[in-house]
Amino acid sequence: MVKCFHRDENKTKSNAESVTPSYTPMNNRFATLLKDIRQQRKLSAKRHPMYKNNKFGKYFMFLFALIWVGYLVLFGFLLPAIFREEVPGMEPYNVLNGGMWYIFIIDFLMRFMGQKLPASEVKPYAVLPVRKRDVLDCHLLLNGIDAYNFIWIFLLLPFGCMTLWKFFGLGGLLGFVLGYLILIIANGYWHSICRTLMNEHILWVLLPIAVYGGIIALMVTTKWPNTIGMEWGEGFIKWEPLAFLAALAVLALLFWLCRVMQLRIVDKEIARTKSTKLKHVRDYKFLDRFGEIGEYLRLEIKLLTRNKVPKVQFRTGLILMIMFSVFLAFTEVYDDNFMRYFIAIYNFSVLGVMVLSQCMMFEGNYLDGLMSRKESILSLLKAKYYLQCAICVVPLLVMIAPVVKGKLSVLDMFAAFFITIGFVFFIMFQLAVYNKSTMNLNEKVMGRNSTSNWFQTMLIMGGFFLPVILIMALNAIFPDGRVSVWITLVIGIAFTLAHPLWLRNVYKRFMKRRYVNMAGFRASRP
Amino acid sequence: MIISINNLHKKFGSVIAANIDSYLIGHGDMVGLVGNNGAGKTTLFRLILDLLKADEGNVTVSTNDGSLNDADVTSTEEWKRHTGAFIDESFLIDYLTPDEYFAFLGRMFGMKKEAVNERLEHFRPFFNGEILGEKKLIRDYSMGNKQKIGIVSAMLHSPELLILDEPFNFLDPSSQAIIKHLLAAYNRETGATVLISSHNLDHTVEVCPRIALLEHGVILRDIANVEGSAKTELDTYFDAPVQAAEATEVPQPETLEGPEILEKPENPE
Repeated sequence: MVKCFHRDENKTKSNAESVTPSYTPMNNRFATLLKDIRQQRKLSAKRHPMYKNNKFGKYFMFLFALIWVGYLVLFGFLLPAIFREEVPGMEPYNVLNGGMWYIFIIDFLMRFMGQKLPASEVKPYAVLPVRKRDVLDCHLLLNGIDAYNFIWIFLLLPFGCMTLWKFFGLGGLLGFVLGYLILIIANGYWHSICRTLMNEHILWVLLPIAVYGGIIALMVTTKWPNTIGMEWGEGFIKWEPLAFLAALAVLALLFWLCRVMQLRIVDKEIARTKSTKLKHVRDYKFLDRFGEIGEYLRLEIKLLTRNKVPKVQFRTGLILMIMFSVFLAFTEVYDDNFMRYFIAIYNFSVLGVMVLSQCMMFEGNYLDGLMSRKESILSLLKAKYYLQCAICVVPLLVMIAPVVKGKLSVLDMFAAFFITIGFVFFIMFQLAVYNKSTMNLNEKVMGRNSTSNWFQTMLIMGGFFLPVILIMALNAIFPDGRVSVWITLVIGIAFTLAHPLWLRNVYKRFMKRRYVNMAGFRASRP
Repeated sequence: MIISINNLHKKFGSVIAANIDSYLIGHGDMVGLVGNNGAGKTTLFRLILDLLKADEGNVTVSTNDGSLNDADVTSTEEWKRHTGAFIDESFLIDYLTPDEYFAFLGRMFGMKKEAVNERLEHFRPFFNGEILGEKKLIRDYSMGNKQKIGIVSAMLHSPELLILDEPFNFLDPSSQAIIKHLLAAYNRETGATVLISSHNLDHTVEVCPRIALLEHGVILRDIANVEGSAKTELDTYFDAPVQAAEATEVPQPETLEGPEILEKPENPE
């Protein structure tokens, strides 16, 4: 019996060794895990459904990155000259250092495009024989060495070459770039902290606004942030240990804070027993009188109000709309004709374009059910159209300020209103025929989960710019500016009145492509 | 409703998902579709519901009232008024509460609110007090409750043709018993044509008087199931690979016997 036990124990041990992942030896465990997770992140990005279903997406992202890099290099070369001209008594590197906070603000905003939250990546490993904190550390470290962090080198290097080299040589340039990189990586962790909090409650958006807004306010009033930035940046250039220690301390502090927060979120997510009851269930009874379309209007309203993605889109659109209206009304930044008309049309279109550019992509989640009922898609399209027209009342109110300030006439405003609900929406509804990727209703809006494709991008650009180009062309033909606005208004009204025809046409074309679209929706469903 | 499957072929790459020369399902038939994973059960349902395009052939339907006679499902949408189906979660609008969803479906099929409520009363025991009147979105329900919502949504408007893919999945034993009873009674009382697929042979045999055995898209056998008579035939078919595997199994070494391994000596030395 004893003999048998020993023999079997050894056997069991050797079996275990052969099947257990190589995380067991303590010294190699973390490195192996890091390598595996890095590989999985690469595969996840490479095999994202957006790229699988849409080859253009990959090239679009590449092109976008290329344009961004091009901009940074361009500014890297242009800024020294601009700073010399604008701030003659100061070296350009001091000006940049003083305004380093603006770089962090842009970097912070850019990270919304693609940075993933580590906590959301840990769940799949929850039941594996790996410590959660190790998985989280791997993700945090990988976020720290993500290629995105190094994109700023394309600005810093040319700028440093043109301004630092002659005074401080290669050493100064390297110190400058390295110091900034440490702070940019720290800014990435700060972004993760804010995003995590924002996911908990949207009001946390006030935290970064308060921090960055506070810095800008202090820059305007006391110049402290400028002085700190200048001292800190010069410390990097001169390789002063204190400057790097301070940067590393900020990095360590934010890494630690981020780690603590993410660990809590992971535990909370895994053991989530959230209250799922709604406080109020609104029925919108007034829609009963509109029959089947009323029913779909009710569905559309609930789609837009009960799901995270459309809600965030609506808020973003509203903020942009108000921002542009304020700029147009109270500043002279957008006083030229092109921008006046562009802002007018943009403000009316932005909410509709945001939703309609994803026409049917939200419905992709439950399209099989809709398609099993007769002609429900036509009613759905009509309801979408009417709701978006109704939403255009919001910009009508927001645009009162520029009208009162004399930047736009009432005629301009109504021309923009009708060209939007007629022509722009006509263009956007074409996407109902061609969109074939399901969009998760509660995943983040931007970044890799976005589902832009070539056709979508072209139509959005067309929707925003074609009416403006039309007005500008008409302005060139007719010296009296009112003629072009009247023609725009008439075109808008004509497209608006013709909506039953073009919506039916969209429906028929959708039905013709239904098998292709449904296969796409099915394949990309979360 | 009569369903006629004619020379129906569908391939996904090199995989044959449907390859049926001819198959007729008559008025009031209750057919159980059984087969292993990848046999093509869901694909067949999607083809019948015009959610998938066939490479060749077609599915035609004839309604009881004669409004449709051998109508190709791809050429008209009229049959949809007479059909109820639940294949998977993609049939549910998950940001609605169940009550809202049922009300929405009811109105789509021209039912009045009272009629919807009356119909839902019929399913109250099946819901087990967890679904109706709850201010909770469908996406926040368990899989089992989502399955119940889906099944009832398909049966709500008393369709002439009812198609349910794996209706017993995710359901607790009591709910499985209830749904078996509900389906059989629905077929018996309304004369509706009912198609269900299932991996559970016992349930299928218990409920369906006719069983189609599907493998690699082909209907291998069309079995008349009189009081469970199909059970033996299906058991024999599905047990065959197990028996073949057992016949070729290598005997395990004697030392791997359980009890001896588990018994740890007091002093290993």
